[in-house]
Amino acid sequence: MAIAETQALIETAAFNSGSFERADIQETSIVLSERRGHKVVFPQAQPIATQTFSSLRSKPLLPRESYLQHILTSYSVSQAVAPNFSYSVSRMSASRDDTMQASWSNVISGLERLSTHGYLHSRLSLRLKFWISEVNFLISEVRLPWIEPLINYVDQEVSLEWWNANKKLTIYFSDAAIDYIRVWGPNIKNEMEDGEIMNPFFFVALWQWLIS
Amino acid sequence: MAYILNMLATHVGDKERVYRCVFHSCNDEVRLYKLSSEGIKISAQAFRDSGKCPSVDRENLCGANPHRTQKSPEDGVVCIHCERIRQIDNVVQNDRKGNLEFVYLIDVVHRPELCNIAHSQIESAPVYRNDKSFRRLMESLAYIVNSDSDAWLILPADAR
Repeated sequence: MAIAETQALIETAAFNSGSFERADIQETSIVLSERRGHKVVFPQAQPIATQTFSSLRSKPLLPRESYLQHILTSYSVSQAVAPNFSYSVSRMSASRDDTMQASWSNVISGLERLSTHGYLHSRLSLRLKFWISEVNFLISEVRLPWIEPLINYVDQEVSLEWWNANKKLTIYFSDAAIDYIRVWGPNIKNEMEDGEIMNPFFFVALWQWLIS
Repeated sequence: MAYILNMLATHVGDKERVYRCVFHSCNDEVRLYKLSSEGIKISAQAFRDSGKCPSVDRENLCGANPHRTQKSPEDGVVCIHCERIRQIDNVVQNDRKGNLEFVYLIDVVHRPELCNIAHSQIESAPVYRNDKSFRRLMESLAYIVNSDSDAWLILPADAR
């Protein structure tokens, strides 16, 4: 398949994820660009993704193949469009999938309860489930432990809250954005931060902070 | 009548405590606390209010009886010192570029009602421009409660 067609498919997948605005396949790298200009670069020659975030300076997290493979399989895009990444399929074990299912199953069942009772409208529910599937994958990929959240749906937005010792992380899902607030100490003037979660990588960085 | 009620309003002292009702988790829509092996954690959503002015009751005016604050016997009740509420200074308003515009002043204001003379509200000056600022207040109040082992005066029914 031509490079242009490959790019179009990946770009569509990346755009539909709500995280990235465009994808560019270049000779030495694949660049996924966010709405605010942040970029996630997957160097073709190196197996590590580099990331640039505005407020969190996280270390490289993922092999590039994993995330791209996830994007491709999420949308049932043929592996033929990205032959360079096909070998990563064999590296995705069934046991890892089981771990993924275990971690977010309560969240998803909670959302389904909300949907069943008519609290959660379908578009937000679908968007949230897709986001969860991406974050699910990333957290299991970097082998991070799991904490059950408290789920609420109030005023047209879903909130997920996690506690770990003196750290607290809250994320808010709405039609407009995914926001977070993190608190990490009694001096709430200097130990509280909020902002928008621009992509799943950012959430993983927040998760690393929470469980560290 | 509103005029008379306003006449009854008095200053809420720093040393006073106020009570907040925490509804028992009786449905799937709202769960305002989390139970775990480490104890009970109050959710920031427990302080959500459609008018962005969470209601509380003044301890001094309800006979120091937290049961009066409950809406049902299954509900929990937490208390917070007014001084700590007024010390909250992290509720900020940023401009579109993320630069600090101003810090909201948080106060406890007595707003007596016909059916509840102790009724008060946690208010801001100026009023919140958006949800993000109010979320910071909710988070701050929840953090104060969760860091105070004596904050829960009545536990919710499923935590007793």
